[in-house]
Amino acid sequence: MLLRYAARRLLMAVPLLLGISVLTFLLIHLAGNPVQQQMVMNPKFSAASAAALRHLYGLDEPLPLQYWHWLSRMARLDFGLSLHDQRPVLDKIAEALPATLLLNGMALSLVLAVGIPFGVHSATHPRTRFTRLFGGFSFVAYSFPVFWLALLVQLSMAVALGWLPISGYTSPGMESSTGLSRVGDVLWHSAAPLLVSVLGDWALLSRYVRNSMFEVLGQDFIRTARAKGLGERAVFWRHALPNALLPVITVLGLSLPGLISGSVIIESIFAWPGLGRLAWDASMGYDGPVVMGLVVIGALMTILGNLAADLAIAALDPRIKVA
Amino acid sequence: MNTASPVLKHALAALLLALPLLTASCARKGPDYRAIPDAAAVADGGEEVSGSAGDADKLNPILVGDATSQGICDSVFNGLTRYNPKLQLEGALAESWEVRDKGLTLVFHLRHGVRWHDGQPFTSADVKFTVDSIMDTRVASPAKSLFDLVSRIETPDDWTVVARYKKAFAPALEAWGMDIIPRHLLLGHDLNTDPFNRHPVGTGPYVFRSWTDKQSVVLDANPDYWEGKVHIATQVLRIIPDPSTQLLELKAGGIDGMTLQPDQYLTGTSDEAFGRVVRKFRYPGLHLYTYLAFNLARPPFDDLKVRWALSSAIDRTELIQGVMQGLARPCSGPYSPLMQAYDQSVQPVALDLTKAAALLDQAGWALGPDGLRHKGGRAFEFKLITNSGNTPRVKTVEIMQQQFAKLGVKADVLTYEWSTFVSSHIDNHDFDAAVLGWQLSMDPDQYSVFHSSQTHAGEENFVSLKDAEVDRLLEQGRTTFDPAKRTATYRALHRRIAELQPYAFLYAPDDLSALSLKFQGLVETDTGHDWYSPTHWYIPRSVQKAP
Repeated sequence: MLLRYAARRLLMAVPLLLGISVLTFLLIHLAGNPVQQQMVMNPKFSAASAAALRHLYGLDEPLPLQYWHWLSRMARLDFGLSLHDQRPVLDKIAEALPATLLLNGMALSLVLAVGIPFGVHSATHPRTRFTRLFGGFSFVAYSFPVFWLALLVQLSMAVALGWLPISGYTSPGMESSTGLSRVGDVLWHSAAPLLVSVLGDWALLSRYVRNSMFEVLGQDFIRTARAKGLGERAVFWRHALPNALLPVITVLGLSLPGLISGSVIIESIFAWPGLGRLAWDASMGYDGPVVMGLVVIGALMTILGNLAADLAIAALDPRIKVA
Repeated sequence: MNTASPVLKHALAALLLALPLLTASCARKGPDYRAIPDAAAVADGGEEVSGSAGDADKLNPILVGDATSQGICDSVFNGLTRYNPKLQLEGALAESWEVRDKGLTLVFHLRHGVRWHDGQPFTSADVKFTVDSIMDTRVASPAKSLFDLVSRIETPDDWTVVARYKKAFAPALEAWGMDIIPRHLLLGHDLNTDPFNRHPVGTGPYVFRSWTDKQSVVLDANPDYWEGKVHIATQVLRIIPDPSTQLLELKAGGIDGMTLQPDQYLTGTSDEAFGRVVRKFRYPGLHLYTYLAFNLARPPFDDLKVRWALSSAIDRTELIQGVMQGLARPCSGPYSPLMQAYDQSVQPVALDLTKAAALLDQAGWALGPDGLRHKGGRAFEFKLITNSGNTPRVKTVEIMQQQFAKLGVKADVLTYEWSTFVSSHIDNHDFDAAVLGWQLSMDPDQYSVFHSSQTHAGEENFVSLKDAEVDRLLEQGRTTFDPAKRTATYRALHRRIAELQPYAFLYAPDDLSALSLKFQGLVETDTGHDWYSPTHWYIPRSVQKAP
């Protein structure tokens, strides 16, 4: 039953992916191409040599044909070559993936670790000083623009106190080293961007959890549980919490693509060599194949994340049946 | 929400918490490089770390199309020729050259004893291989137009290169500044994808060590450099996309030099702490100028008087203040004011609304009761276009729109995305007037931009300037090799172009940068620039270690 549902959802994803790829392809090609960007308005480069380059990259073919070439390569899981450095798109993505995965993985874990308990606490103890103070603080942090928050963290933690590096992934000279010292170095460099992404995101999750907990605590079955003489502990752990956390699963599913999509702003400000930077550089440089590769993988992750969340909820929540 | 006011209070608290930290940041004391005890003692060693917004694409000079890669290639490779601090061509890998057969043949005598970084000797075969590769249709080199007039390259011996041309082509001497790549490492390889593009081997002052994607490129001094001792032991390029982060790193000593944005030049870089370690530089720009292009194929801009009227209605001082915060200079022709070819006697067109109005009157555009000028029942209204992503250009058109209004001329401002702007409007000559910029090279040849043969769709004379005198000067300049005569020819061209005003020349942005005071041995040029030279620059021993 569940399997058939999953198979049908995946099948439905194919036309969706195709649509997304056509749209992205059109957008990136209408926006421009790297040849134009490099060579136009430089009198040293003639129109003829620009044409020669376009031909070499296959950019002079009609758009539908270019798309067809791309699609038939994709069918063989060949993402093509970057128009900028002629390296395989998959290599470029694979190189940038660890940095983003590390940062976003840690950020997501921290957000969960802090956001859920805090959300639950603020639902069960809504009027305490602690709840108000941190609730307020988290909302202030959430409402700040990321770039400003990042600048604050850089100025305080790095420039004024000197505890953290201002930017970068490793210390100079550590780029190609291995072993524990490198792990430590990278973690040290990740602290500031991590702080910024967690500060921005935990308020949202704790609010989700708080509202959901509030709602559950007001339900009849909680009153029934209390009425039949269950202790507060049992009511909380067995009845309230599992039900309140169901929406969190949906949020988690939706944040799965976020794990690999990387934040352009945070990665740029902290010179973090991840996928957000790759996406930004590729879009700004009209690097069609790289943009297409990132969009397809991102779309796939979104579809899978959604599906996983739906399946998980269906498995956990007896009220929901998949059909 | 019952917590509205506490939230506000907490926000204030957070801000108050942050403020002391902000002030503390200014108080933290760094090193002081204003008085280095052993500044005069040339020393080897040390590290130069620069910041770059963009990562390199590929480090093969014949494929390079971006500034970051070009900068690195210039440290790793050499060309046959190069510009010296006086902005004149001199020999690099070529010791000397001869111009024969009225420019149809160039003979380069190569420097003896130059070795590639892997120890192999550099010879004429490498030069031939480089040009052959550029011209190979399978190789994605953007430099093909630099050599497409070459008919044949001969290498009579290891140290002589004979280049035969289909037509005499004086700008070729600059083109021979193209960095030479090693034949012995690349012969028979697919140059577009070869690993060499990420592990370059050259003859230049620095030897490639490593390139970590989106992070850094590291180079080591070449102990065997043909020009002399390279003093600074290591060059590091750190890729930091965000300009504010770069500035923080500069202040904290994480990088030693960077390009400054106009607002960074003006604010945040003037305090005493900054002045202790860093020196700011502001030079007249050498690399590009911004202009208003008139479509000469379309009335009313086919009328010289109209072009002069509009050009005289532009307040360039206001423009430079409003767009570039004053950090640019007006220019009067298609060159940077620093170039030899720029005729200093030609002044930028001065703001003169009386003269502008008189010119329009003479051209038959009389001021009507509606405040607009009319001719033959038509109001003077035109489309003023530029590309939307470029903030300085968009501001430029908006300010000029106001300035033209004072003259009774209505400019309708339209901005287009770059690709549409170029392919639908500029390439097809479908525009009235457009604001654009040209990149400049040191060579003054402007054939592709102003010659009457270059007015087809997609070519660069998109304003359709057709003038016999301009054509004659452009052709003469291309066949004149004598530097003094060339300069005279191009100054004449500058004067003629300024008379014709196919463009209203607007301004050339200043070059702004910052560099740590620890560097010594900077070579000052005639133009006031501090010329980077690896065999002159050094870091005194007492400041070689990072603080």
